[in-house]
Amino acid sequence: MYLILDACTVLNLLQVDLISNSDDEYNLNYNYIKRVKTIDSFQIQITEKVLEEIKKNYSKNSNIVKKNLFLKTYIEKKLHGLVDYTIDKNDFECALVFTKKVTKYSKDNGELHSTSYALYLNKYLKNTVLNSYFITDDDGAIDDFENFFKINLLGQILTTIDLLLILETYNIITLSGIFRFSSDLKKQYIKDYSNLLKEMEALQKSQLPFKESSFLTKLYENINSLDFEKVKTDIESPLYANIKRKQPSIDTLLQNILKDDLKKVDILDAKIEEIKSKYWTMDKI
Amino acid sequence: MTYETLGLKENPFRLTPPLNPEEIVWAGMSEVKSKLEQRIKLSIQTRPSRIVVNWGSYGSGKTHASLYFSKTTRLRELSTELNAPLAKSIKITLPRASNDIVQEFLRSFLGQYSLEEIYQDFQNLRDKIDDDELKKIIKTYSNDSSIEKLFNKFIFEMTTTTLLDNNIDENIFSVMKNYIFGDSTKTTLKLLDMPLGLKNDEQIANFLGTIISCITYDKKYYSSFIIWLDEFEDIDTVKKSLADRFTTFLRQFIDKTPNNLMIFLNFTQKAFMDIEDLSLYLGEALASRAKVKIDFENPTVDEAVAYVKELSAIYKIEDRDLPFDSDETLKYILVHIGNLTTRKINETFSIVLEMALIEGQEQINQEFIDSIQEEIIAWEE
Repeated sequence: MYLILDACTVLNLLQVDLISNSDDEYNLNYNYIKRVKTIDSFQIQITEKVLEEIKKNYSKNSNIVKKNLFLKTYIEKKLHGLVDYTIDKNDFECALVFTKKVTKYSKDNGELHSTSYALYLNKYLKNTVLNSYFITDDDGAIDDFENFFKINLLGQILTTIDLLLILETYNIITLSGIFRFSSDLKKQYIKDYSNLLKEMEALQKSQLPFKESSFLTKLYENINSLDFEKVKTDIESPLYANIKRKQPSIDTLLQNILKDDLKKVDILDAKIEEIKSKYWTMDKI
Repeated sequence: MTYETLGLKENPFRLTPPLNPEEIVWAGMSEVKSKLEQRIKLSIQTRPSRIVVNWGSYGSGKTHASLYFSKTTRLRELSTELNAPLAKSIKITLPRASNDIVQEFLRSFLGQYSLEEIYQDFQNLRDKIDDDELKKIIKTYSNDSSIEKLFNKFIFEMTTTTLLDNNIDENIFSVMKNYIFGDSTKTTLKLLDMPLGLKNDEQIANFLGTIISCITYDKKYYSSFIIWLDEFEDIDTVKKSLADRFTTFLRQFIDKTPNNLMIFLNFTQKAFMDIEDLSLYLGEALASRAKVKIDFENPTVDEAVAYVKELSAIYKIEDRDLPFDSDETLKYILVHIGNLTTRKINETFSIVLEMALIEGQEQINQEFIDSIQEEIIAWEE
């Protein structure tokens, strides 16, 4: 059975798992990918396109040199081994063209290549069914390709948390380990959000004019309650220009958040709630 | 125009703490105050160390509470009411700037409770406990021979004369400080006859645990030691390894200080952070010790009216009336500013008073509020 990982899944599995010692030397704590590899019935694969995306994005959210260096080395040493270089290029190209045509997907990205690879493995290579699982946390990709997986009997699209649940069934990690992972992943998703609130609190500790302070509180409340429509109106205010001048990082972080999709956090929270209530464990007997 | 024209000595609705800490006042929010005081009284009267989580939205008064009980005479009044020795309270903000989070906590601790004060408190304690007993207590709680030695040198042996005799031109406190932070010179280390500095987080936990255990021993000198750890929610913005290290340290510190320590953890409620998930931030071991939670709920409109009146009354010039014409006007403002937090109330009323000064309005009524509505940033229809 093939587990085809998307770039976001690989990056989440690596970045959430990073630990450092007091000399700032980085390592992986659990090394999830290695642990999945210990299960004989699963084979982890990534496509060349996904590897390309990982290389492009691994250092995007961090400027810590040693951390990026560790990830770079890991990618070079370990991830290349997950790419299927024996692929029949013509067959894969046919799978790609078909997937594009059926799903009307216009982007040439890792998600498309992973789905086509699942088709290639099931139909072109092994002539089998339900053999490939695409692991991604991109909810857009899930919507775009779920039906394609279903109608072609390829397997399923799963999330990174589902992948960890597989490890749980093999007693490789515990449920509380999954909850910890999810909490760390959430922290990563909301890093800019948390830092923005922090920056706003810090600015408010200085002697701001009453109106600016009041404006900042209003903005804080709207950001905290994720009411981004109101936030967009707030930043039109001349008072926001003053805030921006006094603390430029507030604007940088806020623009990142407005670009970013915090919906992921809700999806992750809902998934964890579902696992807590519906996933069978011994204590539910 | 000055605030005097409004019958006030100054603006009662401060946004930052006053320069003179004694001027920190508590108005309204009587339920939270009574819950906090109940926990404080319990820690003054009983022995087991405890952790309490203060939970509330941004601007709900958690930091203010820490300052109020750490900087004013209120804590002294509570001890006196209970006929108990004084309690000591300090506020520390969660360290997040440095890569050595525990060391930074230690520095903040000693910034709030200086070695000079610690030294003086131990000397006062010697009036209540004889030296042999105190040495025994130090031995028991330090649980570490070098920490024990450090306390014995500091409390009983070292004096300015011994330092001068050894050609060390420093006072006893800078010698100690340098030792604790690992900055001692060879000459000093030779005199102390000790290894270099506190080695690890466990030794720091031992060191702090010994201080607190001794000065609160049998509630002879202090009845309780209270630490307010402010902005604890920022643990989610600290690097994971540092966050784990800090919560482990905190657990060790509490375990090594089984008596008379009270820690209030101030948590600001944020989206994506549920109180049910507390164990993810504190770790199971620490979360299981933090069973009591005090909710800094937003005040109702009536409670907010009481808060505004109570606070204004403190700053009112004698024989003058408050500048607001009626409770109805206060309510009119308060129902129009959305969720009520003390921060938001203070900001809004600061703007209202400021506008009254600019417009030369001596009495604040609904008509005036309508005329300045656009200036009130938090105003919602």
